[in-house]
Amino acid sequence: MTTRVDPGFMKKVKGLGDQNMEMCFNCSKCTAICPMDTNLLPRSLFRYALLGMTDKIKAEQESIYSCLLCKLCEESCPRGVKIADNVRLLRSYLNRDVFNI
Amino acid sequence: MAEQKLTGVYFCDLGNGHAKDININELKTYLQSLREVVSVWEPKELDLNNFEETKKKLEDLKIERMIIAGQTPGVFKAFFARALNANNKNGEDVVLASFKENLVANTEQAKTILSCAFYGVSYTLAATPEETEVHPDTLVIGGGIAGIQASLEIADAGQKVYLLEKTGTIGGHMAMFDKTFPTLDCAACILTPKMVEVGQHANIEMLTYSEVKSVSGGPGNFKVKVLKKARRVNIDTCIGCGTCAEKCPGRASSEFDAGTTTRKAIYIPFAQAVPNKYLIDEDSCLYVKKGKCSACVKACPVPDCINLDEKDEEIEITVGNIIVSTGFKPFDAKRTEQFGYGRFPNVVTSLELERLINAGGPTSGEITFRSKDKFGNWVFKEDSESPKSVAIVHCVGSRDENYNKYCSTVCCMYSLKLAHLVKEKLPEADVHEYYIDMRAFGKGYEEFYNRIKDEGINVVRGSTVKVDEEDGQLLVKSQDIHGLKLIKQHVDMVVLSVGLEPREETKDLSQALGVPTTDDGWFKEVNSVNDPINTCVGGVAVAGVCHGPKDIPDTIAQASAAASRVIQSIIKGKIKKSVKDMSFEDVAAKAKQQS
Repeated sequence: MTTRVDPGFMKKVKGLGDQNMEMCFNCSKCTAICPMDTNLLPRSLFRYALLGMTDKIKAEQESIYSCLLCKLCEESCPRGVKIADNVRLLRSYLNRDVFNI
Repeated sequence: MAEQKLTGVYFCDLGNGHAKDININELKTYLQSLREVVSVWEPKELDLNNFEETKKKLEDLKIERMIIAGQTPGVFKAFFARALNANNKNGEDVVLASFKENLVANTEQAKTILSCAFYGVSYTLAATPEETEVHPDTLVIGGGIAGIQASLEIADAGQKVYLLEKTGTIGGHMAMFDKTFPTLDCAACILTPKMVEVGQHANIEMLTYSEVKSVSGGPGNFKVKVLKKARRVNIDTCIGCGTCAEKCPGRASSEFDAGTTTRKAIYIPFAQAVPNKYLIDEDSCLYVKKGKCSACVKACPVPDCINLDEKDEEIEITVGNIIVSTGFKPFDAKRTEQFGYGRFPNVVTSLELERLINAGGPTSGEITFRSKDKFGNWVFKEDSESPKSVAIVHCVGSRDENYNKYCSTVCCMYSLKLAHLVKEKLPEADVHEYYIDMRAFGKGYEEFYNRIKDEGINVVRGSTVKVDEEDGQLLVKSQDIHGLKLIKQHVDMVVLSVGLEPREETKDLSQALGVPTTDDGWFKEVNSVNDPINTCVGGVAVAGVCHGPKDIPDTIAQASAAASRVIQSIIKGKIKKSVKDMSFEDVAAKAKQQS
């Protein structure tokens, strides 16, 4: 099974607002502290976004909306990734491009 | 010969950070005073998105040569080369005046770089300071492996060296290690022969328990005031019997044992110390603090060996060269509160574990639980139980914008080493290692990493975010990135792989010598690519971790390199003055001469 990757995706997302997902260096401290206990939030989600794996992003809508924006992850992030803002941006993308709100 | 081509100058940016203090008007005035310069453009004055327009501007002015100046001029080189070619000029006539590369911090330095670019001479060739006489003695500040290596090299070449060391013994951090990676050599076994050689070398004068007070003079002729702190023990007559320490009631945390045990107020740092003599720590000595007690004097078999009233002494030495090899201090794990160091007794640092594992340590080499003694102090007891599971956490205080952004280089390797040593002492224990990236950069390092994985140690990609206490054990929270599984691992002991930081005293030393440090506090070299040994102060070189985190082989290599610079100057009888003392006029004149 091949994965479809789309570098143009981030350009679209950047049009919606500021984000800094590319600062992530994949340590996964965020995922380890996240109270939602998923294996997706937020590191894998950002990885999908950076690669433009829109199928995965669409499949994981529930998780994306379940983020509490509590920022426990941001506190622990060694790279200063603005995780809450980035998640909200992806929600913005889902709202517009998927749900047509 | 100057090319005498019509030249244009484009400032691509003045940068943020370093170049705030650059007065572009002053630079423009200078450039416009040069006959061949026909136009100077600031960033906004040329539209680099409009090739035709820019090409035409160059064409109208008959420009044959371009200088691009700023923080990162290289980005624009291709553009201007194309423009010159399109005008039937030579696209190779584009010169870069890089402020970032040349560490330009003010207008004078910027002007210097521009003049070198104008005359087409590289800064390093033009900025060659004058030479002056050099005193044949050398001062090495810091008696760890770097200082020891440099001293031996210079002394073996027949020259005198003062080896200055702040603590009571040479040896530094390497003496505290049990084994070194990747060969698993016994650290003390490879270090102590060098220490003994230093101690016995006719050309090395050790100044232990001493500090640099001030430095005056200049390259080739430094006058250094040294504070020799009062040992209160006669270094010539002490026989190292230790009877004094047996009777001493004063106690303090043992620096050599990384705080895992205590020592007396009169003490020898470790059994193989060089010089192998006792000394009194005035902060824990009852006589010095309260005027009571002279138990050591009464116990000492050598008459007049201990003098409790001895005062510090100041001496002045003259040296031609100085090598700075002051090493590092480990990151204070208390700052990363999320890992529970200082709260949970069985969260230890890598150095503490190293001492525990070492046969000369507090438990004669047994890895045991830490518990409270009858005074409420945390201690490791030899007859305690051993942990059945250990987790090693990477990147504590490193690669983290909340603490230190840089990577401390050696922690991945020492973490693998510690995992191996734990497994060797406790073969039944579960050993887990949580890393972000595995930096196995040196000779034999990748092979060592594979060996560790083969030893049944659970090496997991996935950083640890928190350590909690649960059900009488420690709980480590991570994610297994490869398996995409959340980890909530119960372990008996957590080892924090703490990073390396510059020592506090570095700031004072930097001021005293006039050697600048980086933002992180490491000593700055002249050029991080071409010359990572000399500093911008003539006659002052750096060696070892005080220049930046590195492993032992690289430390020794750098120390030898610094020694070779010193020996070179002594053989020539001449030393170059400081590059930073050269004025703009000096450099511009040299550049013009060489063009």
